[in-house]
Amino acid sequence: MRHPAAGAMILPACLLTLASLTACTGLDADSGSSDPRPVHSPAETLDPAATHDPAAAGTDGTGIVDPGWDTAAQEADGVFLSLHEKDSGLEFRAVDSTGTILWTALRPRVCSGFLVSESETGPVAVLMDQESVSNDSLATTASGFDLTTGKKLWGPVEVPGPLLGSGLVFAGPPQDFIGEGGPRTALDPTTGKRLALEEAGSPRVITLLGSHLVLAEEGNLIGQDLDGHQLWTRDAQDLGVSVDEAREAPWEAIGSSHALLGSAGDGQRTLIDLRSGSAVATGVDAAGYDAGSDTLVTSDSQLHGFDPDGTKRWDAPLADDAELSTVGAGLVVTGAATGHETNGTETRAASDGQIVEGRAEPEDVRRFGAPHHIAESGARLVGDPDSPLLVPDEG
Amino acid sequence: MAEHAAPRPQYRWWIPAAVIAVAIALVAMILLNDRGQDADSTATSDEPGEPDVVVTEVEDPEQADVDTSGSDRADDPLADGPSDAPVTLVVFSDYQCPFCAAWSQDTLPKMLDYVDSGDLRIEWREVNVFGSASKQAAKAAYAAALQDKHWEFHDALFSDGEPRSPDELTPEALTEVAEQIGLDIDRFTSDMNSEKTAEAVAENEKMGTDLGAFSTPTFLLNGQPYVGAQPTSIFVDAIEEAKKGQS
Repeated sequence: MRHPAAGAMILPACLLTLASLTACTGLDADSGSSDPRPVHSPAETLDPAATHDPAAAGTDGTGIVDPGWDTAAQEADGVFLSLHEKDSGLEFRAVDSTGTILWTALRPRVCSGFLVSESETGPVAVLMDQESVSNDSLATTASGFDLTTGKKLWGPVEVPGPLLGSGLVFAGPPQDFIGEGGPRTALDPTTGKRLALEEAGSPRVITLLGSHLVLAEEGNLIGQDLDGHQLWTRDAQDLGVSVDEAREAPWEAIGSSHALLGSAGDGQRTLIDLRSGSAVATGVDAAGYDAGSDTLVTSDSQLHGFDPDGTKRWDAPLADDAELSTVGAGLVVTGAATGHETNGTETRAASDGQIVEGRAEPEDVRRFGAPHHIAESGARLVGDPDSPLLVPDEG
Repeated sequence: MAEHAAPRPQYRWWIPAAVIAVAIALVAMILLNDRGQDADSTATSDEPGEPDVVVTEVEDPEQADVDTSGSDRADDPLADGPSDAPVTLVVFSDYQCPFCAAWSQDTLPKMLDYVDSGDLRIEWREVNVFGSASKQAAKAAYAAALQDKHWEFHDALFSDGEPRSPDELTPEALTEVAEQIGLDIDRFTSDMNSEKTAEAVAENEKMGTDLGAFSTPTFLLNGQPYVGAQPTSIFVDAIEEAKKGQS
């Protein structure tokens, strides 16, 4: 005889069966992601033997920090962020200017990018992730974390695809209405809220750098602040590009109010004031900004120093085989493969472009050539830019 | 769908169907149970098969998932392996993605061993989230596949486990690759620029975007997603497990 309670027991039993089946056959996007966790321990210093420097043999260490980064690092306020490739995933490592690992976070080993961005509340680390949203779909998400503490500030926010390399702008898959590139979404780095979305008939999203959003419509580039106030509009041709070219080309932040438009290596980049839309310099190879002296520096066949409003401050010679390596901490550093003292590195003052005498790097640092990034703290990155080493600040 | 466009991966559509079926059965069962208590409880007790029918509906949903072979599966130029292989691996990739290149170097050879043994079918899908250069490369790879040289072309684009830069994915640069691996260049050029190829590449992209595979590489192994270029052992274990499930 059937027990009267059997019907009541069947329901949870069946639900349990269903839940089990769903768990083992539905989407399982668990890839070991984790939000930042505090570390606060020193990163490993480079083994003296690895420098092949006889002078360093037998010493305790080189003073150069090797955080194990496997891609180019980004920096703000003296905190550097890059990632270490593990077999099972990516470990993001934030390291301060003294070489201390502040926090680490895990993400799947996918190509989606990451970004260090300025925001109203300080520098933000934007990390991507991929999550299951239903039994037959995944979602790409972005989250913002305090770069120094690793504390979550916003997210996860669903985005249409990977970061593009032009600020906090994400690209979706190609759609007919927009041509070859997919529709883009720009997020507010402070809140993660959507600031702009490309739809049929809407302005195109060009870049979002810090507190400046650049859109395009009918041949014009339009500069906005993040509250949506239009700052300027300018025919894209005035900046030497079409709207399509401006959309496809990379935009690199130079300080908090300027951007370098164009591909590295072509010598045809334009330094643009994002507050006015005016071109500070054209035909540029590289550029940088020194906050201490409030100087923009560009290179072509020479070096040039500008006030932020574009007023020329100084010119300086640049050897034929030299290039601008980095600007920061009051310095302009150029490097060359051969032919210069200190392994081809030359250092000038950002304020006036004059050579800085008597500032030689230690031999174990100098052997890596010119630094390719200097934080205002003085900490700098040397070696292969795709697996950089950190020289901590001397303070 | 274009002539050579691949079929969409078979997702677990049976799960919501099973949920609905079970929900209906549960409601019916509870109603029957209540009615049985009010009326002829002996008759109800003599029907032990009822709850079993419900469980069978749920426990055997794979029956609905087995028939994944579409008529055009054999014609997919970006697929390798028998269309009735016990395990299918759909790879969502991008020719500008370093981790796709790394996975191709580290893990793809082992996967192709499974293809050779008839245990695995690989279906390659370019999602082209990194833009126009990726899409151009996808069209070129598709054109190479139409001459049965997909893997040779793929290996050339991911040589040494590294992706090419965008300026190495121009039509001219891709045609040079085609020459290097001995393709019929006239046919390659025609196929790379054809409407059919564009449609097939777009269709393959859509499979990835429908899934939400905007971060690459992403995989579907017998419908189960795997995100990222995880170690080879993860894929080997998953394939072995899937083989057991099919036997």
